This record gives sequence, C-alpha cells and structure tokens, in this order.
Amino acid sequence: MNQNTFLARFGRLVAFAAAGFVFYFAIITPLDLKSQIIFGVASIIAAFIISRSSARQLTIALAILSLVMSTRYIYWRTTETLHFQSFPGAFFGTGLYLAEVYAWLVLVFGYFQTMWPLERPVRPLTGDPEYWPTVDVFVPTYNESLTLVSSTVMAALKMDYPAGRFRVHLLDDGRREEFREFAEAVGANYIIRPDNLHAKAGNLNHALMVSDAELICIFDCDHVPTRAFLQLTVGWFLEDDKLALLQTPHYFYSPDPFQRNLETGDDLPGEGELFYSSVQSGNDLWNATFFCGSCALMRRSALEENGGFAVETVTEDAHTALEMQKRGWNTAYLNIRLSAGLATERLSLHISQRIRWARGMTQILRMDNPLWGGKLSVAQRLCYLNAMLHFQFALPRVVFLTSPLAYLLFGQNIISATALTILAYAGPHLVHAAIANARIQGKYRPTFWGEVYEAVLAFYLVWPTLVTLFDPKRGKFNVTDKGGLLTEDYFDLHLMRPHLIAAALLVAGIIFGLSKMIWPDTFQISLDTLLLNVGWAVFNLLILLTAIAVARETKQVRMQVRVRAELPATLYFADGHTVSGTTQNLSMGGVSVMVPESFSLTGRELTDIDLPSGAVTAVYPAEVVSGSNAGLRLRFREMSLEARANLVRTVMGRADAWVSGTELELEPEPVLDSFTGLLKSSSNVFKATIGKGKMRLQPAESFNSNPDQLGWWARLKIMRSRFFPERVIGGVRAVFLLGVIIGGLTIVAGRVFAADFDPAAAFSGGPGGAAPNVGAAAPQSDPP
Amino acid sequence: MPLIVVSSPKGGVGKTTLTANLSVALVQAGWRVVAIDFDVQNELRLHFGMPLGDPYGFARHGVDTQDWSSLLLQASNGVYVLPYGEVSVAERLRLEGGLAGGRNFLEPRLRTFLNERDCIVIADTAPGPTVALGALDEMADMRIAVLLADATSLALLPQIERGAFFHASAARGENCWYMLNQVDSRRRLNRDVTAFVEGKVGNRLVGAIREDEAFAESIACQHSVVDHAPLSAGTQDVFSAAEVIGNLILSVSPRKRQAGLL
Ligand SMILES: Nc1ncnc2c1ncn2[C@@H]1O[C@H](COP(=O)(O)OP(=O)(O)OP(=O)(O)O)[C@@H](O)[C@H]1O
Ligand SMILES: [Mg+2]
Repeated sequence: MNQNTFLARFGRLVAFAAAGFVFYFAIITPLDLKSQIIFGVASIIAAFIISRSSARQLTIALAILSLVMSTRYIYWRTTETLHFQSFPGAFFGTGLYLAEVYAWLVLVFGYFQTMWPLERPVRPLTGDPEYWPTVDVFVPTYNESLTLVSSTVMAALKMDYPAGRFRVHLLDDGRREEFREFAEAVGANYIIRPDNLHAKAGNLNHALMVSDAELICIFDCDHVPTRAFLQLTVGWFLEDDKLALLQTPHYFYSPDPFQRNLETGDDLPGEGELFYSSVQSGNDLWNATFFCGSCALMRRSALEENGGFAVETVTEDAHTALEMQKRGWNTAYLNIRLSAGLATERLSLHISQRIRWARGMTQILRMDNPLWGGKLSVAQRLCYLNAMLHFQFALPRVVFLTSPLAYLLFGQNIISATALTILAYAGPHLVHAAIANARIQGKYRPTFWGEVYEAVLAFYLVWPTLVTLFDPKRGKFNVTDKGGLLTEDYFDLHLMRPHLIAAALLVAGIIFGLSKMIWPDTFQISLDTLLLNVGWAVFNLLILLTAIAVARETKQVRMQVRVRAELPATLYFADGHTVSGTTQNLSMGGVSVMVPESFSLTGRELTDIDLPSGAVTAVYPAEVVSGSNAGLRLRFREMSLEARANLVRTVMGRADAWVSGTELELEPEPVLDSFTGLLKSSSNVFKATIGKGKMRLQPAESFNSNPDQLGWWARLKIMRSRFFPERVIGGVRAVFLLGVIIGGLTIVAGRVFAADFDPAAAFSGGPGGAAPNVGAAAPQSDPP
Repeated sequence: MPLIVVSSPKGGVGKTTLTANLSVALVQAGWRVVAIDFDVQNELRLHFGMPLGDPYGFARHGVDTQDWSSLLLQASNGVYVLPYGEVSVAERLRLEGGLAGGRNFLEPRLRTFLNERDCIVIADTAPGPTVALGALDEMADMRIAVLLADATSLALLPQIERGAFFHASAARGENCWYMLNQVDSRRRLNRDVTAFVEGKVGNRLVGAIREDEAFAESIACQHSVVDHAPLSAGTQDVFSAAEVIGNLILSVSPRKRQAGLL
C-alpha cells in the first residue's frame, strides 16, 4: 500500500475516532443545571454563527450539532427522568418518552436521508431515434371522469418521441363503452380485463402481459405529462442497464386542501413539495428512490423479473420499488416537473389517501421489512425504513398534543425533573432541530408546518396504523373507499371532531392552569412547571386550531384553476378583424388575455382565439365572458376532439409549463363573483346560504355592486364570514365554551378537594419540553 | 441592393397589398425600400396616401429617363415609391417596348438603387406573365409568388414549381419563394392548403398572411395595414415575413448575390 494513502486513511480514522469521542462525551457527560444552561446557550450561539454561511459542509455541521444535542437530550431523558410516582404518571410518562424516542429516530434517519440531495441532471437522448427504446405508456383508470382521463391520454399521445416508438394504453378497470370510443378516436390502445383483482397493481400487471415495449411509463389518469417527458427521462435507461425505475415529481397545479383553505395558503409550498424536492433527491444519493405510482418510467425486464407490480400491500408503488431493489436493480430520481395534476380536492379525501399510504407502508414494514433480505446496502435499508417509520407518526403526534393535559388537568407528573432542567435540555434539542431543519428543508416546508400536517391526520391514522402493525393482512384495499369520507358538508365539522375535543381539553387545561396561579396557596403549585405546561398547551392549541381551519373547506368557490402563462394569442372577431394579445392565464375551460388598449372591443363579437400548441398554432372557438382590454376573460366553446388535444398541449403540455413553480391563478370562475354577488343580498340571506352550503355563482352583472352601500357592521360580518364560515365560528365558539366549562368545574372541584392534591408532585414538575418533533426530518409522503 | 419581384399567375391575390406592407415593415426594420409599381392599374400608390386624382408616375418618362431615382417620391412612412402613373395607350406601349429589352433596359435605370447596400427594391407586378415581369425576372434576386390559401393554389403551385411561370432558367428549385395570403386556420380546406404548401416548398414559404379585415379597411383610408392596424394578426404576419426576408438577404453573401442566387 502506498505510504501516502495509508497515512491519509490513518489520519481520517484518527479524526473520526477523535470526533466520535468528543460527541460521545458531549452526549453522556452529566452537567449541573447551570453548566447545562451555559452549554446549551453556547451551542445555540454556535449554530447561529455557523448558519450565517450557506456552504453545504456547514449544513452537515449544523445537522451533526443538532444530532448531538438531541441525543444528549434523549440520553438524559432515558437515564434521569423516568421515575414515576403513580400508575397514571408512569403510563403517560412512558408514552411521552416512547413518542420522543420515535421522534428522535425519525430525526436521525431524516438527516441521513436528506443531508446531501443528489441533483441528478438530464441524460440527453442521443443517436438515431429509430433505435431509441420503445415505450408503453399506461394510463390506469377506474372510476374517474372522461374529462379528466382524456386530457392525460391526449397529452401522452402528443409527447415528443418518435411516432413508432411509443404507444399509449388506456387501462380501464371501469370497462366503460364511452372510454373505448374515446380511445379509438384519439388513437390510444384500450385495454380491459375480466376482473378487478388487486386494483391498480392488478390493472398494471394485466397490461404488462398484453404489451411488449422495453420501457413502461405510468401516468395516473389525473397526471398530465408535458411533451418533453419521454425525451428527458428515457436517456438514463440507456446510461444504466440496471436502472429499473426513474421517478419524477408529482406536481400539483391546483392548491392542496392546506393551501386552499388557509388564509396564508398562497405562500405555503405544496404539502408534497418536501417529499419530492428534498426526500426523494436525498434518497437518490443512496440509490433508494422509490416508486410513487405515477409519472415514472420503468424497465420491463426488471418488472418481469419481479413478477410484475407487488400486490400484497395497498401501496404497491413503494413496495414494488423495494422488491426490485432487493433484487439488485437501481432506481433514480429526476427532480424536474414534467407533468402536473390536480391535488386532492377535499380534506376528507386527503385523509383517506393518507390512511391508505400509512396502512400500506406499515404493511411493508411488517411483511417485507427493508432491514432484512435482498441485496440492499445499509443506506438503502435506512432510507426505506425511514419512509415506513415516518408513517407511524400518528400515535406519537397525539401523545405530544395531549401530554400537557396530564399535568394541567390531572396533576400527573410525567417527567421527573424541574421545569428549568427540562428547558435546559429540551431547549437546545428543539432549537437545534429547528435551525437545521429550516436550513435543509425550510424552502419546501416552513417550520412547524410538519406539526400541522401531522396534527390534521394524526387522530385518523392512529387506529389504522396500529391495527395494520399488529395484523398487516387486516382490511381490504378498495379503490372506492377513496370517497368514503366524502360528505356534502360545507365545513367538514364532523371530520374535525377529535381535533375540536382535543382543543377544548387544552383550553380547559390552560384555564385551569391559569386559575391555579390566581389561588396559588390552594393548589400549592410550582410556578415554573405550570408556566411550562401552559406554554406547551398554548403551542399545541395553535397547531390544532390551524389544523381545524384547514377543515373549513372553501367548497363554494368551485375553483377553476388557471395556469399563469404568457403566450402570444390572436383573437378573431365576427366582423373579420383580428388582434394579437398576450395570455395571462389559461385553463382547459377558458383563457384570459390582454389586448392592447387601442383596439376597440365594443360592438365586436369574438369567435375564435389562436394559441401556440407545440410547434404550431391552433385555433379554438371561444366567447367572451367578461373583462376589458386589460384582461379579457374568454370561455372555450364546444370543440372537436383534435382541437381539444391541441388545447391540452397548450395548457398543460408545454415543456416549460411547470418549471417556474406554482404559478397559479385562482381568481377565475366564482371567487370574486360569488363574493361581490353576495354583497348585494342582505346579511340574513347570506347566513342562510352559508348554513346550507349552497353558495353559487352569481351572474356577472353583480360584479359592480358597491360594498359601500352596506353598513359597516354588515360588511364586517361579511368579511368575517368570508374567512370563517358560520359553522367554523360556531365550532370555535363551542370549543372555548366547553373549555371554560370544564376549566371552571375543575377549579371548583380543585378548591373543594384541595386537600387531595399532592403538593410534592405538583412541585417536582410535570411534562415538559419534548413537545414537537420540530419538523422531525422529512415526512415520507408517498403518493399512490 | 437586392431586387425582389412580387408576382402571381392569378389576379387579386394580394400582391399589391403585400408589396406595400412589406415595404413599410422593412423600412421599420431599418432598410431603405423602393417600391415600384409595374401594374397599369396603378394601385400601389393608394397604400401610401397618394391622392386618387394625381396622375404622376414613372411610366410616362420611364424610357427617356436614364436613372429612375430622379423620379422617386417618398411616403410619410419612409418608403420610397415609384407609382406607375396615368398613361395613354401609346405611352404604355412605349414603356413596354422598352421593357421588352429586358435587363439591358431596366438595369441602368435601377442602378442607383441597386448600388446602395442597405436598399431593397421591391417590384409589384400585374397578374400573369407580362413584359415587365419578363424584364424583372431576368435580374431579380428574389422571386416571390403570392398564392391564396384556397383550392386554386393546389393546381398553381406545381406549375410554378415546374418553371412554367417565372423565367424558366431561374425559376426552378430554390430561386422561387412563396407567400400565402388570406390564410384562415379556422377553415378546414384553408388549413389543408396551407399544410400542403408548407409541405411542398418548406422554408421557401417566406410568409403566411392571415385573412384580416384590417387590410381592406386600411386601403380604404389609403394606409398600409402596418400603419393603420399595427396590432392586427395580418400586421404581425407581415412583420414576420419581412423578418424572414430581411434575414435571407443578410445571410446571402455578396458573391452569391452577384451570381443572382439569393
Ligand atoms: N390578408 C388579407 N386579408 C383580407 N383581405 C385581403 C388580404 N390581402 C388582400 N386583401 C384584399 O384583397 C383585395 C385584393 O388585394 P390586392 O389588390 O393587393 O391584390 P393584387 O394581387 O394586387 O390584385 P391584382 O392582381 O388586381 O393586382 C384587396 O381588397 C385587399 O384589401
Ligand atoms: Mg395589384
């Protein structure tokens, strides 16, 4: 061995060993309270100094710092805080401790997984197009509407790829005649099968048997590809013979329930953004990208060796990827938005989708655990494991949300340490995690939003994940249960019942806690423990209220999502005149264009508009809905199938359509109209409308109605109702009322039975710190 | 420097309209443009605001004037114009007699324009084969045949391509360029014809001008569309065509141009 390399290796070994020692002592050395505070504050200051530079190496330094401080916290929790005085105390205390250990594990794995995202470039296709790999494009559908499916099929047909080298197959598990006719008309292959066994996985497996191209491209029927999809993805399969899968992000051009239902939603990145921007790119470094069910390209030979798509679990996508990787195949992730779809429309649908994912991931954990079997590297095992672990968040999240109640309502002491000590240990743990996570993934998910997302789902996921964990075969996957929770409710109040109850309890706890402060001698409290718990409860309450606000489905605004795009357009009028304009936004339903001021629109009837579609320009019949030169809103009229196919390409198939990010306009159809229209009606009528959830589009004449004609009180009410429909306000009111009642009763009870309170327990602390697993690393959403 | 001839076997296809509007667009692109009307209908001038009753033109003095630059008018939009003018039959025949001399007659008379590096001479002609076309054809750098985007072009295009319209020696292959006029992609037949022409001549189609009411309206107010309705689709198309033509001129080396190959 060369002397130099030996020295280098030895040096590295020594450095690692030294670092290991330092970390080891940083984690286990016991410190008295004062030293621990100084240590914590110093480390936080260090983190702030480090975070001034944006070098990638320093990101790692921040993560390591965070790991050391969090591990120190967990070590301290394990060795010094698990002494319980009562059975309930031990029960809640152990629960909280386990939840924290879980959060710590996910944090550790999360750092590992997202630390160094691989920014995989495009591998261009070269050589004679006649020899490019053949591709079968599968578009599976079951019960979705033809309008939805047709866009995807037509866009797929219009992808830029040599004509004889790819085919589009419509896999109709609904066996609908209408779909067959459509497929024939546009030139797609229509495939049906005799049964619906194994749902989507079965559908795909059947199609595998009746097709033969080298590569398989899969688009869920609501993911519309851009024309560049194949050209930009196929190349990697030529580069790497063992490549089984290339996944691209699922991009949603409509807002998800969070973005849609929250006032701040406009600035909020999509809920799936974190997963597709940070997690999958991170997985890719370790050759552990997994399949997300759609917008991906796969190699037939790999699938065949695998016996097709996995059918044992309800998340066949991740499972199939895992199986193929266990057989030694590679996977890749290309982080370029090459397709777009509609996000889950309603919160209830979002929840049932996540129930399925959580169940599926738990099934894989039990039935095909990534830690054992197959040719996987340790890193691959960890990446897959973390994906599955992530979906166990439900119970820990519920524990975090409700833990302060143990002390506030029941006087239970679940961490045996003083409040200040808890703060001294938990503070650095939480702050470091927040700093490191904000740096790694802040762009894709603001701090604390992970908590909100989890809080929304947690109550619903606890049971399904637990049941599946103990008996993975229980429960049957059925596509239709997608709509199971769907109701016509305006505000999904019943959906939020657990959240409202939890919030009510927290309010009660806070009020009770504060009242203890007013009569300190009666309760013999320790002020700092009490404050710590009240603070924790307030934080949890905020998270819960945000989660509840998400349920305020803005259903009335049956939104037409229009994509912002500036394209040259020509408007044709019945009198033979034309004018060129620029589009502002467009959708499959209509387009908004800007026309030069000098062109007079009065008395002119618009007949058509032409827009660029691929390399050519196509003309679409249209009519004016409203607007002026500064922004003329047009609606497309009935058009031929061919014109529709062109339109799909214009609106969603442009190669650069989604590159620039969430450039969306939500204004069109009703939002403004219904609001201004409503201003006309009296506030009584308004109330009635709201109550029934039947707000509908008003005629455009109401556009100019003047809000100033209304009294300020009426206007205020309308504003309020706009942000919080009556039922939400009602719900929140109920929460507070309930909280006040419970709190009041507890105070009375407390004063009456004051003697029963154990002053020692109250003094020696309560639950603390450890609240949120601040952005606990990367959530592993895994779209179906 | 280059001489562009706009012509067509068929009348009323928009030669004059396109000549006038291309001239304006080329001027706006920075060229000096001389537009010459070789059609006895004397219509080109109407696009440049010349009064209807004004009989002035080059035809009357064309034979005797050795350098036509002395006869030039300039329109307010910058285009230099040589209207045909009102002439008697004898005067017309005399000019035609001169033009029958072909290159030898015409070249000296246009030399001043042709020697200017940044000057484009663009000639409008009467429909069909005429004496003037014969002379222009001999020296043209670029021959543009205007076709309508209708069924008649399906028959005309192959004829022109065969060399039956322009000077046979020059017409074949890449020396003949096309413009499609009154394109309307809303109509099926029109679309098909456009596709047919595009497929047949490829990038020798320098422009496809959409049908646009603004053309008729602008001539009624004696303006070019470019000036009258700058935002109409027709104007956009004229501009794109002018850009293509301008780039073609620039891309051809002077030596090649000398050889008459644009
Ligand atoms: N793109 C167009 N859209 C609408 N109308 C047009 C268009 N081009 C030309 N026209 C109209 O067609 C008519 C004939 O045009 P023009 O006089 O330019 O044709 P021409 O080929 O020069 O005719 P001629 O053969 O008689 O010389 C005019 O009324 C003109 O306004
Ligand atoms: Mg004419």
